[in-house]
Amino acid sequence: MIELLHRLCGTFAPSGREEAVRRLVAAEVEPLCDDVRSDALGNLFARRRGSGPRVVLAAHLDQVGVIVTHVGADGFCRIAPVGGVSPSVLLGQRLVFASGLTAAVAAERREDPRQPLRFDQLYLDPQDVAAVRVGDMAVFASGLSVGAERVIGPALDDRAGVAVLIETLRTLAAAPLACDLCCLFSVQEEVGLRGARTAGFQIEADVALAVDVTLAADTPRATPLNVRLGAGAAVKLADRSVLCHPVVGDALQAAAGRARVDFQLEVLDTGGTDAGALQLAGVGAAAGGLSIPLRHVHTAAEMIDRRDLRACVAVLGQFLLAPPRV
Amino acid sequence: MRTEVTRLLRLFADLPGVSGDEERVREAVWEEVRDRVDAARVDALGSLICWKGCRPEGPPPRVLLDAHLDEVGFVVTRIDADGYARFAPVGGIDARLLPGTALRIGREGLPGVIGSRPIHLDKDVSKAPDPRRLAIDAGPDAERRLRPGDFAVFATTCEPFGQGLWKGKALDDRAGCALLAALLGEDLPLPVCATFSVQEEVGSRGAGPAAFSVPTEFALALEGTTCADLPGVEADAEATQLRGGPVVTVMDGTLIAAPEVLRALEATGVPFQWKRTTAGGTDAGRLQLAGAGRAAGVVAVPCRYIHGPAAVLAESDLLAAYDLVLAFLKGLVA
Repeated sequence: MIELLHRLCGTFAPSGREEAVRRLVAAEVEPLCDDVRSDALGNLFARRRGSGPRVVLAAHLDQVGVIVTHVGADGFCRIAPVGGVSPSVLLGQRLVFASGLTAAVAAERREDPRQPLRFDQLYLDPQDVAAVRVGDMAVFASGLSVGAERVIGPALDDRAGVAVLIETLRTLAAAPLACDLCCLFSVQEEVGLRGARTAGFQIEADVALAVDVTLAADTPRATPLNVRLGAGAAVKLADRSVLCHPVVGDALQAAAGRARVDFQLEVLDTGGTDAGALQLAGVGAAAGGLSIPLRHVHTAAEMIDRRDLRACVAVLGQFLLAPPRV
Repeated sequence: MRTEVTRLLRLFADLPGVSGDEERVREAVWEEVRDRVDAARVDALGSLICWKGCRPEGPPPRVLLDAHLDEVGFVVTRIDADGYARFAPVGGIDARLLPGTALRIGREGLPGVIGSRPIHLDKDVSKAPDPRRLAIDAGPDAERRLRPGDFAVFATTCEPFGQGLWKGKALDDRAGCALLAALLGEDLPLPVCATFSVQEEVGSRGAGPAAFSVPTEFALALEGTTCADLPGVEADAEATQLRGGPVVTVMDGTLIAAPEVLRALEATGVPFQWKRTTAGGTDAGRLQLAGAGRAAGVVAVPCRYIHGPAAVLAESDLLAAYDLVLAFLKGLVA
């Protein structure tokens, strides 16, 4: 799974421009599914047909980044965010374009440095401005650092979820599932759960699970939340986009018990996930989430714990063998 | 046809049609397009949906073109005992532009003026006024002629000026309506669905329902967009330039334009400018996500002073937008 995570995190795919990582994922899941297709927005649907409730597991392909809004005659570019990335986190970073061209992010001298840094005060200083056009997107330069337990790098949100889904499919390749499974690799989650809306309309699921990261709160002066790095798969009860169906949360906890892995309960007071969109698509679905604890979200140095990744795969495996009836 | 775009702009721009009150604009559009389309219906919200070269019961066309009928304006909330009418903005209005502005109110277009305090009485002229503290002066017997729920529009007449410029109210999006109605007069290279949507200015409410039952491959919103190429504005903040050609959006608050649409627009060879800010939103955001989704984009005409009493556009940009959309359609069958 770590080797796969290296390849996933090393692939350029900001919101709306997910082609490269979609191709990578399609190649991985093709041999593991009955059919693989994509839709008008670029969502990837990997189906394993079966009898029982229709279950969708969703991980999003896109990562946050920036978009070039103006190429100045002076060789510097102006940028706007793609997804929730803040100016202070970009300052001093090295960003990379689809072509591999890199750029530095810097800021104008500010009259009042006590005021928070704004996007219009940032500029991009590219290696070669002639190669940059308005509309080009850039992301944090990649490079995953893998330790015995901890992994650090950009785009773990949500390539970690993508890796968990692929690994779950691999683990269950020979197992008879008790559901009609669709693994959804969605687009444009970071800009408003957009891919999941049209995907949910098409899938018509009974049960929908987002497999995404959640905020670990075990850092200095963090907002008091329950989730800690290394303490197991996080069973989502609620975030800002969804109040999870209790039956789904219960089924995930029961699955963790059967899998004999650690789990923790998650209530996220900020942010949303594809579960919010899948819950409300069409006639609606019973929604929930299984989350990977992550520190320093939407930075160049996101951090996850390998034990939590393995725990998520184990929980999902048991969940699909005994999905909830709704 | 291309030669009628400015006639239609003027015709549509002068009509009142605040979000939720678009009927007269819709009827004027219908008068122009009724003989050019094969089928049409008005949906539950009031959007006009037209089929050209196809029919609703047949296979859907590959393309949907959308323009919104509504404009930003005001709604009367209460008539005070002193005869002044309190109001609320409908859509995003720049409140700094309101004091002293002339309006036309209600079904009959009764004149009124948003009152303003003389400058020697106003201590702080730099802050935007709160619209709740403003009132419309519509004459001493206002309460006999106006009612809560009456809509009001800027009292601006659409007319040409300068060299190839047009000023008017509601250029966002009567420019789009003019383009779309004129395009329907062409012998188009492929079947098209045209939606004249309601309530864009209050959250693109009409577009999703209108497009829901017509699952096309592509959708383009035809719009008026912001243009701030003014003295004192830095190049990186102007968003677009007047006479810079039609504007193509890469990303705004509701949409990341589909790469297929951007490639198709570039392949036409018609010169255009990219929109150089990511603020704002259009119907394309809803069109992209309606039903099972589709590849969506925006082609817009730059409008200075948009969402104010008098916006300004360039005829050359308007006609070039027409050429770009027509070339886009031709490119789809090539």
